[in-house]
Amino acid sequence: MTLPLLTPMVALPVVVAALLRDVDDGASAPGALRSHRARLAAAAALLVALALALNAVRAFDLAHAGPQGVEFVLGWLGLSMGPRLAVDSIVLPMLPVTVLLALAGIVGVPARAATTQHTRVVLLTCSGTLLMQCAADLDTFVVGWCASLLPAWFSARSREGLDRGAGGSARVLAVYLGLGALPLVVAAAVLHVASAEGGAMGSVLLYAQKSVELDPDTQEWVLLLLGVAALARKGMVPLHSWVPRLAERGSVALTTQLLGAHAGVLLLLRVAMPLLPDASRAVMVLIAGAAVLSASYGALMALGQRNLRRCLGWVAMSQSSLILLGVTTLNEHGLAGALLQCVGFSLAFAGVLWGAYFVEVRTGTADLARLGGLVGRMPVAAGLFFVAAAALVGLPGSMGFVADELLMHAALSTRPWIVAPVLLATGLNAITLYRAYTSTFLGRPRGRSRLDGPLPVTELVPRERWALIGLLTFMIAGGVFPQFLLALREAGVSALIDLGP
Amino acid sequence: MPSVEVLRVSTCVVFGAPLLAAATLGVASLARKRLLSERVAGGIARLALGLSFAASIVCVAVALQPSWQPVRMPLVEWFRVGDVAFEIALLGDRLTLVLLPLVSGLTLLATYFSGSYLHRDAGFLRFHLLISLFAAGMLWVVASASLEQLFVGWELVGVSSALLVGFFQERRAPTQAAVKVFTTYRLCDLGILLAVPALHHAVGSAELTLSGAEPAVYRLPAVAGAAGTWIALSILLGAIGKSAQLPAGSWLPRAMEGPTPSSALFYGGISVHAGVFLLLRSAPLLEASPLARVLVGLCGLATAVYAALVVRVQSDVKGTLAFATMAQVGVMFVEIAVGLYTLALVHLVSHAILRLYQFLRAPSALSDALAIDAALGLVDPSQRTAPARAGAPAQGPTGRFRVLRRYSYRIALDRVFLDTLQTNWLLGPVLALSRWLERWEQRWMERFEADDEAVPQEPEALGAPRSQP
Repeated sequence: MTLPLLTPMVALPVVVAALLRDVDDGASAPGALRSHRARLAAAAALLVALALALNAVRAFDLAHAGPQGVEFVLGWLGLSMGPRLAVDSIVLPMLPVTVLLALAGIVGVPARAATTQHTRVVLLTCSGTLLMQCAADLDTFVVGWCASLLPAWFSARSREGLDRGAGGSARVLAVYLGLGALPLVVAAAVLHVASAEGGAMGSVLLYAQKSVELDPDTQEWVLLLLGVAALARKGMVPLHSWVPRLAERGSVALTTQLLGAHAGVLLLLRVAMPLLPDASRAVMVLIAGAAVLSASYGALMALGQRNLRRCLGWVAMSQSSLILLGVTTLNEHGLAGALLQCVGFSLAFAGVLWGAYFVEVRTGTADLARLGGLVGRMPVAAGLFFVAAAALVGLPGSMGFVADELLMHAALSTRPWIVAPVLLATGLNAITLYRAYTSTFLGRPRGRSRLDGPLPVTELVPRERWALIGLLTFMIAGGVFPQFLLALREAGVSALIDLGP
Repeated sequence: MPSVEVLRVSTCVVFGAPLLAAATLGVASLARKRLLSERVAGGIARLALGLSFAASIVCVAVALQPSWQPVRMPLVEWFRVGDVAFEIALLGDRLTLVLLPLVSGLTLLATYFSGSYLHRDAGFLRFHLLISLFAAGMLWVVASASLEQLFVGWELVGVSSALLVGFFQERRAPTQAAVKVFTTYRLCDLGILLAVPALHHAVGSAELTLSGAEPAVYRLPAVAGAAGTWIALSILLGAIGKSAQLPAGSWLPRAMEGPTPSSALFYGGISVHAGVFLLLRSAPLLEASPLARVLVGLCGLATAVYAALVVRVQSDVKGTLAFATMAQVGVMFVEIAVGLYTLALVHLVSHAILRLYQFLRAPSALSDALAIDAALGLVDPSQRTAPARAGAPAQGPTGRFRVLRRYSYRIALDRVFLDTLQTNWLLGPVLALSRWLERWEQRWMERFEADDEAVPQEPEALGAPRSQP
């Protein structure tokens, strides 16, 4: 990677978002792009970003554990200062997934819902997430963390008064994700002060191979703050309520982007463990406890849901807690399983949530008690939903299967007490998803929905079909040939274990 | 070509051909327009299963050579992380070579039968896709060289089984039955999912090895102590789920909602015996754990008694066959518990063939009986009186035996209240707890949206308005 390619990958969606003009309200600003053209432009920009991300994967040297392609964001202007970007083997596979989720968010939404505002929010969230994932210093990481949240919050605020619950959604996001961002900002400030040399504050480099000097008590407090931030952003108990809420009422594109970013995991792996390795173990036990609780609680809650999308939100919370569990084992199998699960979960969850959304836009409801009998009219949607659901709970052929196997190995050798509840949770999640599938697509409708009304319930249009097939193709390819992804992350996992507390 | 190479290639064809057929039919089913006619779709499945059966016969022919020895044939390493490697390997031992032709042959027969049985059914292609997937999964189970590899096929069998129970998608009863089947399978499969890493932890591997007691069969290694007991019990959990043994056996009669050919194949011929196969593979583990062995016997015995009681009051032929199957599989469990492995294998093979035949004959059995009666001039069908309900205590013994019989009849009618107990004591409380917690969650969320009450109803927020695509 000789050219600074990370900066254009991160910046391109922002630039395109800035060029978009609001034309949905009839405004006719000179040079404004119509919303469908805005969608095309956004899709083109994301395809370029996807190509850049895949090129980063191609050009990565597997034998080298450290960061590669280090560049300054302002390097294009000839300046060697400001935010720094880099990729390592941990974050590398997440980059194409992040872009892919945004692309699905642009391509998948129905024509009338693809407003310029929606397109812009998806692009900005994508950019913020990429910035966080590629951050080589703590400041850039924090900026990326906040930048990936703000578009969703602004979007909810702007719809306040138009949609029922939009104001509530904005408040939920502000409280829960603000609870995640504030401790991170405080912890980052403490780390800055602690790493200042001779009174001069510089950047805290995430790849410096050097821990920050702090007394043990302060280390524990900082780690506690980072732990709270990670749990809030990951949607773990007790900071979990935003996940089912967002899945039920939020934009599908934003939900999949926020949950697929795995910011909490990156915070632990890229900030907490490298900078404060000595104190990590104590906090990891707490995080493992929260993750086990989340896995069980999410599975239990999902079982009794009547709303399909809310049900998927609980399942997502439960399944994504397995990733945190893998991280907290701090061994080779657990970390490898967790990192593989990051990719598999993002794609599979996006598949099921988009599938549910496509049903909802046709029937006008996500109430499982009113759905049913759709398989005759939407057989392809039913098939793709089933495949995505099977992958989400780790059936063979998916990345989740390989990841679950590795996680169980890791758990038995480090924390055997987590095995039984986690297995039970995955079992319950599988049952819940199968019930959701049968309630939605099989049998007969049990109440009045649009199936009885004048609007036709039709099969997926090609745009929707290809959005789903694209996600599932990556997911199945990764499940059938997992060794590529595992090898890609081997060096990073070894480096993390070497850091070991 | 050396005989081991012939065996390796043939075994690959045995499960590879149905897998390829399933993939082809799966891709075709994604197409918006119907790409494959009924004839082509059925032809693909039959060709693949025919190839599979022929290849399994080649495997048996190789094994009949005097110099043949049981063999483990590595294929490829799927993935490796540190010391945990998932190697895909195939076995050529006595157990595999007996079951390969049985599975592929019976599946081929059922597929031929379904060609006319499901003629012009809207789900013809889907049925053949699922049957091919099942065949690939079951043959994979039979030829697997490790427990984790076996689990891959085990899951494919479970998924295809549940989907075929719910084959008649527009009816409610089959889809509910499919949920029950899937629920039981998934919960019981957790046992195997637990046993795999536990075996790695205990002995460093979940591979099947040649046992000293019976050198012609690959089996799971024995593990001593409490760990061995837990692993054996985990495997027993997986076995009772797939083989419909108590206390997890109440799904089997409901699974009869599926089409007759799949009922015959899954719950008469093959799938219901998968638990027996798993226990045969796990014999050293069971021998090392007296508790697990006793529980295997008790499960089998209880199921045999239960099924023998309930079958007496069944009024439909498929239900009768289902309970009869449960009873026979229970007897196989008992045989394994007392160490009669060869007898259990012979019992498995003969029972699978007989039961498949009975299931496939079931749809025409009544009309055949009527035709025979008419031919013999015994009964005018229009004057036939309804027979007394099977097992009804109208004419029975006197005294306390009569009371006992009356109670037995009542209990049998309700299938020993297994469904009621599971619903009231297991599912009901869990769902109630879930809904109670959900109410608290909703109340908590209401605090965030107190200001939004006056706004008109619109379920979307955060910028994704609902509309037709």
